[in-house]
Amino acid sequence: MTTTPGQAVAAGRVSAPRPSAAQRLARAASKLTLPVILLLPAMTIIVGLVGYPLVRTIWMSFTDTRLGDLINGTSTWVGLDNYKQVFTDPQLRSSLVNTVVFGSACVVGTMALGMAVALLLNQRLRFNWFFSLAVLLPWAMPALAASSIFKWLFDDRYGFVNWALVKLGFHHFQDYAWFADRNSAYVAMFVVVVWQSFPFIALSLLAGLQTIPRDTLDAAAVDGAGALQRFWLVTLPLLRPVLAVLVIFSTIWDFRIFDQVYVLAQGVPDRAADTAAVTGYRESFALGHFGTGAAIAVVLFCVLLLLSIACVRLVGREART
Amino acid sequence: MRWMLRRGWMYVCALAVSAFALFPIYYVVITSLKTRSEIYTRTPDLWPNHPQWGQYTRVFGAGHVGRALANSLIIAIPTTLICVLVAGMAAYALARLEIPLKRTLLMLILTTQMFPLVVLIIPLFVLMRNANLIGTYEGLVIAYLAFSVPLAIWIMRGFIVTIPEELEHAAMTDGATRVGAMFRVILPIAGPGLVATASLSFIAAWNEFMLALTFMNTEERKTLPLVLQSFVGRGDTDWGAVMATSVIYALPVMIFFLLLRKRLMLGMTAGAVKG
Amino acid sequence: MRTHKVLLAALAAASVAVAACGGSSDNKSASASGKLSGSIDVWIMDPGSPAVQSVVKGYGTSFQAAHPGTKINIEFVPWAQAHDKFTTAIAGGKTPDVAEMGTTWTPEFADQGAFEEVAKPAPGKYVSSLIAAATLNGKVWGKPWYAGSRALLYRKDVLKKAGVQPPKTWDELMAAAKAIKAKVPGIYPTGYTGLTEHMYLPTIWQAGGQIATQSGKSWTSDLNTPQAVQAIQYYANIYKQGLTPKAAIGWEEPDAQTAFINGDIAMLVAGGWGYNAIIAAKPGMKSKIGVELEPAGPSGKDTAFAGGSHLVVFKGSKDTTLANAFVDYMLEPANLNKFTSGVGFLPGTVDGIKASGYLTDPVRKPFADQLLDHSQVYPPSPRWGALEGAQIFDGEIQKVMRGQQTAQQAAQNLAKKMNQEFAG
Repeated sequence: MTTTPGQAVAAGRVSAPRPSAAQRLARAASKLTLPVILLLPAMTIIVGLVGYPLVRTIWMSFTDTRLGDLINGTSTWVGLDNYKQVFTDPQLRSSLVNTVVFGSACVVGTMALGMAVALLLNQRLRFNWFFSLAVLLPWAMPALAASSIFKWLFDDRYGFVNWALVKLGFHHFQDYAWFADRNSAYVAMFVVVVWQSFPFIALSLLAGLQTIPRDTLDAAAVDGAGALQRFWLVTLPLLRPVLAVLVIFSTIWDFRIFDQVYVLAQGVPDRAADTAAVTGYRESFALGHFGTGAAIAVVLFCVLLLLSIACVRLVGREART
Repeated sequence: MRWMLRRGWMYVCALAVSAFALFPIYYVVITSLKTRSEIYTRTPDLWPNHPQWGQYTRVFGAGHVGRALANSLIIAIPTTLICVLVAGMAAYALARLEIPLKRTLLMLILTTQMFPLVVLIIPLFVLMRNANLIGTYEGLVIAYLAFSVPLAIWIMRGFIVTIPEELEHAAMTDGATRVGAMFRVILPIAGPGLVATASLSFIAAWNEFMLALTFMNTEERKTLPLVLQSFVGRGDTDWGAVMATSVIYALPVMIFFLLLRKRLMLGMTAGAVKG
Repeated sequence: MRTHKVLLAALAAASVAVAACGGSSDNKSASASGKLSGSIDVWIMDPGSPAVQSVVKGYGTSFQAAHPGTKINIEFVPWAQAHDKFTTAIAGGKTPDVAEMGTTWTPEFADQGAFEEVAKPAPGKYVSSLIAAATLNGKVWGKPWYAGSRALLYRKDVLKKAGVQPPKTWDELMAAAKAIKAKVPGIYPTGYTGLTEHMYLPTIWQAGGQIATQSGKSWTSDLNTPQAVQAIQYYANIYKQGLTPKAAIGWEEPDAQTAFINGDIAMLVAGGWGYNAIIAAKPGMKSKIGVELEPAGPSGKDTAFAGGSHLVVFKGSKDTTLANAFVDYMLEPANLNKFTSGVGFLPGTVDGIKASGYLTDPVRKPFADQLLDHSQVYPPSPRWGALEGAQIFDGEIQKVMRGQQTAQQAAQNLAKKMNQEFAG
């Protein structure tokens, strides 16, 4: 064995004769030194800061906690009562449904546009520098600013959108209050979310596209594969790890969405367009039902966890075959 | 004609996407240059008829946007640098080394992202208070790191995994150590991914509102989003000031992108892989 | 009108008396307590305007100058996020020493033991409705800083064109609105919004009803009454009959104000602060605006909501002596008026009102009258802040405006939700 252990590990072909227990332990320890050094700083930051709030929130979701309880450190254990409420109260339940439906729509919209833009950018069109810059800029616009800007663009009386739609002959949009109706509020919020998040997706996919060796694609072209076939058979499978990460992250971002909904969906009657994060926030901070707020967050957490595991599994299995 | 069919539609699409991406930004810029009566009109013009810089002098003067800009930079830059370093190390380990329970560990890192931030605020506040970090720059940097590092680990790991391992082996048979190979081979190839990750963590810190609102307790330390929000007051929203501040707010990131566009966009990887 | 003058005279007399003894006792306490020192954190709601911000900062600097060795750290907190910032600070055990508190929040946080108690003030020292709003379980938890009530602003020129007098009752308002709609093109008669409960909840009082009543420590909603139904019906009818812009269903108060500034609506329910903002944005409008008390309902009442702020000292303050001294300094009539005249509110102290000159200013006098004699506060229940924060009222009212449910149904639903909230 002339290869270093690291190399052997990386190549995945460790097949040494049986060493003694002590030897094995020593080898395992030395193998772990580098990973531990590399992982320690990140894990310290993450666990040190997020660990306690996470555990505390999960615990709180099984209690009836009010502001007074938070001050005094008391709270009453109520078991699954908060969860029962989340699934029976029509407003809380509908906020979860809103999250899943609206969130999924945003993920699909963002990924589709992002992929299209990444492929276009990869074509190296003339004026590519302009196109790439144009695509980058929405990402530079802070979420809070973007929400305000779109609120103004969609303003009922002074907004550009209504003015343009009326000009185009849709007189229905004269003074149309986008944010006073659930469906139209979702349309506007969808535009905001996609506008803000497609640049990152496009950029990441482009970077992914560029790590694909040209040879592979050229070889496929020589074999007679068309553009579409090359995309499906070569590009997409090679992009899968990046794609999986992006889908998972988009899902987490769009299901957790708070700022845009908080700013834009205020005027929807009965707060019918609120998503789970906003509802959890209102339950906690406005109504002082910290237990219920925590329970909503935990439910959202479980949904995201299941989706992420499913996504990782799916990619993992296909990558192995 | 054939060119039109083969490439023309691409240009049309690129143009449409550019328009969609740029229009809101263009609209903000022109609105920030308009007078009040031009802002509140039923027939908005697509250019300011009497461009004026009054909004900018106003927000820089009375609005203390300059100070907020500095505060935001003081917080976002260290966050980005530390995040990329710390997450890069972890991402490499999770992409290349054999670690027991790797998948579970990755999932655990990700779970920290799955809670809506707003419900975590009170326990976080308690932690910060105990560490005496309320109202400090360091406090916000640490808090932002906690939320951007997991994300950065995942994204960078994604990029490192796509880099063919043979390259590293080649370097290592040439006599480089694993760490050397990591720096000499992986780092340059993962360039675009690294810049993308850095941008992401910078923007996350740059944009963050809720934690800044909760943890910052003096006027002198307020960050840009807090100042922006103050113009959306309880009375008449000061749209002119909101637009001007939004432009100032977006500008540093835009400049950053302008400088790094090449690095973000041009694949140095293709060449590296070939050569 | 006559009772009104008598009341004002009584107020003025009382205030002179209070000022006389108040002044001397203050001086004594200051000299007795000796030199002040230390530092305190003060949270003030962001007034939005830099001019008013600098007045507040000025309190800090001039107080520091008068008391060397003290340090006053003032931070502005946006209204929209203030409630949550207070909640986190209180729950997290790191509060400021002094803060401005929206009047409807004072009982909520006082119920959690967040504030230092305030000695029961002599009657006639403060605007009484604000003391009522700061009272929980018989104890007072904050000192009134400023107060204001909304009144009816109208465009004199538009009403003239329509040939109507400023409306004094609901019926007159309806008639005037219809006349404006018929005779003056290009402007909507009113801007009655679907959001911001201060716009529609007072109509319940105007109809002769109550919002909630207290028995012992518990509160019960009064919304399921014919008066409340009538009030909701009236408010929604203005929208249904097209007397307010279609988009107003999604408006908050500031949106209506913007529409008024831009000449899109002729009548607006707004406070003195709104009036200030309007003429600051469009000085040319000053001569065109008239102010009246809110239109009276069938009961003859023209009640508006008395809003405003308290100054509270937090329990666990590093230095309650300094904190209280600074609060009292801010409430000295001359200091107080610098702030209130800037924002367009009325001072929370009777001395302050007297010094403000509001009572002799013909345009601003209706705002003062509305507050002093024609206003009421929302039930000072610890749960009221939650009802407000959850915006339970808006949704039900909007559905009536849209014609998706009757006023009767809205009243029933609201009563149910309120009682649920009051109960726990």
